[in-house]
Amino acid sequence: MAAKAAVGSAVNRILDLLEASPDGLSQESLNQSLGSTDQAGAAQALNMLLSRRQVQIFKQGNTIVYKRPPKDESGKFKGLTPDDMLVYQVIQQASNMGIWTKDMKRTTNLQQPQVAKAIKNLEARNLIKAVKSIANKNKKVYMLAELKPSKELTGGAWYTDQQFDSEFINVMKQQCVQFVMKQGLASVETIADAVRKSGITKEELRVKDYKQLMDMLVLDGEVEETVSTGVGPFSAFPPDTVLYRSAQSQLSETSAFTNIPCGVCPVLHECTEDGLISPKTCVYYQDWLKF
Amino acid sequence: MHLNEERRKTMVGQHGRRLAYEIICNQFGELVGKVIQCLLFKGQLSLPELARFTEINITQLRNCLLVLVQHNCVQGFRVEAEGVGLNPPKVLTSYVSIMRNILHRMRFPKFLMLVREDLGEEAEALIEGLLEHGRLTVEQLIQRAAARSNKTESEIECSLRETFSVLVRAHYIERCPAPEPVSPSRPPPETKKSRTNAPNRTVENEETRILAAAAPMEAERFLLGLPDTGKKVMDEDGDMSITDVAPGQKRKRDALTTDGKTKALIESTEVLWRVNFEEFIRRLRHQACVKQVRSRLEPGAGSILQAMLEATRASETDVKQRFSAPLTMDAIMQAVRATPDGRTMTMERIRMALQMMCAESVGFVIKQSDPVTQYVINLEKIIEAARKFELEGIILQRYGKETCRIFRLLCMKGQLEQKQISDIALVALTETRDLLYKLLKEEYLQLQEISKATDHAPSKTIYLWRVNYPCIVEHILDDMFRAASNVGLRLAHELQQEQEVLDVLRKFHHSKTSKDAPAVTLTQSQHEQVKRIRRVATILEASLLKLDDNIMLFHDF
Repeated sequence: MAAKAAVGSAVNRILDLLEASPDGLSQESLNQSLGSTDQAGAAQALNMLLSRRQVQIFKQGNTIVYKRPPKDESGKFKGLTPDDMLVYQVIQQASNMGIWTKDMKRTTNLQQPQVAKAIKNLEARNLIKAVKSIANKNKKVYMLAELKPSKELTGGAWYTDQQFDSEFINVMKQQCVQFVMKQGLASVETIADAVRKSGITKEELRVKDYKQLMDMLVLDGEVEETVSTGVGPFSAFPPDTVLYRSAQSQLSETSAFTNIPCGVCPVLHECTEDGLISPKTCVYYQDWLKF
Repeated sequence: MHLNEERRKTMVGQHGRRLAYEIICNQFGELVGKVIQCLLFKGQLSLPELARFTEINITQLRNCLLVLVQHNCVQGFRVEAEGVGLNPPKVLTSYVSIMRNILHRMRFPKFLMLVREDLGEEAEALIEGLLEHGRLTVEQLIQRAAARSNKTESEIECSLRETFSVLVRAHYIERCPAPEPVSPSRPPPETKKSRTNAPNRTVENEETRILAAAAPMEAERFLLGLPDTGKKVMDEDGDMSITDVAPGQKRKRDALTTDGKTKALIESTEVLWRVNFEEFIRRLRHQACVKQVRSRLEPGAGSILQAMLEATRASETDVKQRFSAPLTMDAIMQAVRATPDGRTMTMERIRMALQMMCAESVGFVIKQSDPVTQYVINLEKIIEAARKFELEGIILQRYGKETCRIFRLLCMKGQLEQKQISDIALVALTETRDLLYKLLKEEYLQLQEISKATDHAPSKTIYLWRVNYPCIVEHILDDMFRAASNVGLRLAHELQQEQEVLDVLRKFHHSKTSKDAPAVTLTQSQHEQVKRIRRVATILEASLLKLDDNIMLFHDF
């Protein structure tokens, strides 16, 4: 029974030591600190602590590191099977990118039913959640319940419920254009501020997102980019700030070519003088010349 | 795959020739049309060859060719064929079509308008005469004008000659080229690489080579040398203006008159004149440049550019001139002040506008500072900007806003991956893919595959998209030719459909003007029909003229 007592004291010693160093201790330094305690007892104590999940084990390079888990965690895992724990750890490693069940199966070397069972258990305890990815709508990935899905999964600010929200983008675009028109000159920050204050959306948009919007507006030919010189009309902005103003020449809305039915005709290349599609019998011409 | 591509290349560009053929058919009839069709699609041909291909009898064929040559649509040239054995070398005459000039025929209204605005109605009437008849001597022109105005020749001769010399000095009129130049020696044999460059290109090269051989020397081209009837002629030494910077600036007469050959030319009364299309195109090109700057930058800059172009025009040698002659600030000031818009402009204002046009992102004007500060107009860049503007408009109308955005993005960034395009253009990934593949199919975009592995596995390959600009221009131009041809066909069809009512209308007008003709009235429905066909014809004709502006932008400028 002396052995049992030794194990008990070793448990206390180890817990104290790990408590003192929150970054964890390697096998070596733990052995050194334990010093007098006999190796067998220490090993037994560690095994017991690991099975009770009062100590976690990590690998750092070639060395093994022991660590105390965060306080509340030990309770969460009560009653989970080792399989569940394995799956949990794999999911934890995937962090906010999530992991697919097939990949879990491969990394854990468990069978499909076991993985499924583990996921069911973990979901029931609200430890993990399923998230749909925009890249592949039918593919569910799992991640820890408290994590926010990464931008790659949700698509960022411009996606609502995994759907590309062009309506939302249009509204935001209008708002930005209007502000630039009103102000004459504006930087991304001022635009972002103004739109935020207008309270048009509850969505948290970063300055980066606004920049993206403005870049798109430049491509649409609605605004122009210009760089502040810091003087004259630019005096309100520090030099070398990228500013936006409404474009002097917008994209041409009409073209002599596209005003003719042929200019936008989808079957122009199949059109021949006396063919089935012919300018003589063309229905587009009919409509064009009717009004 | 390779063959297919080759065929596509020859397909592209054929609609321009087709349009040229249709223009000739409409204006000169089927027979002449057949001849030009042969020349357009088969390249240069000799008379026997033409006879064989067209199966027209030789007299008629000769007449057809005469019409075409008279109207500057065909150029003859002599080729020396090596003699066989002891026979002396044989000289054959071949003919080549001038597609450019044929296409110009649909622009005559524009040319007339331009010359009227520039030099008035008398000048317009002279140009009209030349356009109508192709080539005329001054005497014939005077006869024509006299017949039209019901005046005697002597009454109008003086002022007509005056106007004529103004037109020549402005380079609107030129001497006709040599009728049958000897074909210049062929360029060195083509390498295999250049031969794959699509046949139409070689045809075009041939055409330019022969035309260059036929064209009179630059010095003779606008040499007026009116026969010595009017006493004023001797004073008009400015007539020989070729490179005069400003009309009226005296040139050294002696140098020219002492030249025996030139003298002979001056004295010859049989000089044939024709309209110099190049000059008209040059002026229309300048107008397009000014319009572009006006809308892109600001109206004032447009006016300044116009004045600069006016000042440098005489030194342009090529229709597709890339850079203007350099101008000093003083010269620009002077030129601008001479225009109605520029009279009130301050030095500062002009300087500002120049700076704007010189800006790096614009680049319409280049500032040189060696050895003195001078400004050069980058005509090519302005035309390029105009083309791009038009192109973006067309893509916007044809494929919608998102596609246009992607197109502009790729133009700006060079090449990008699908994911990047989707991110920057804010278009959903799946939609981006659809749009990109649509543009790829139309050959507007190219897809570059960069594989990281030797097996070219898609998962290990980067796919880059980029704009295939020359190809786009070629395709759009061809589509425009096709559209122009279609509008023309539709117009002909509409007129043919309403032939009956148009005949009635003609009779109706006839009965009104002459008393002998039987009275004709139109029913209500016929009135409606006439109204309809008039409207339809107006729409079609106006659209064709506007479309031609675009064709010029992509083809002639």
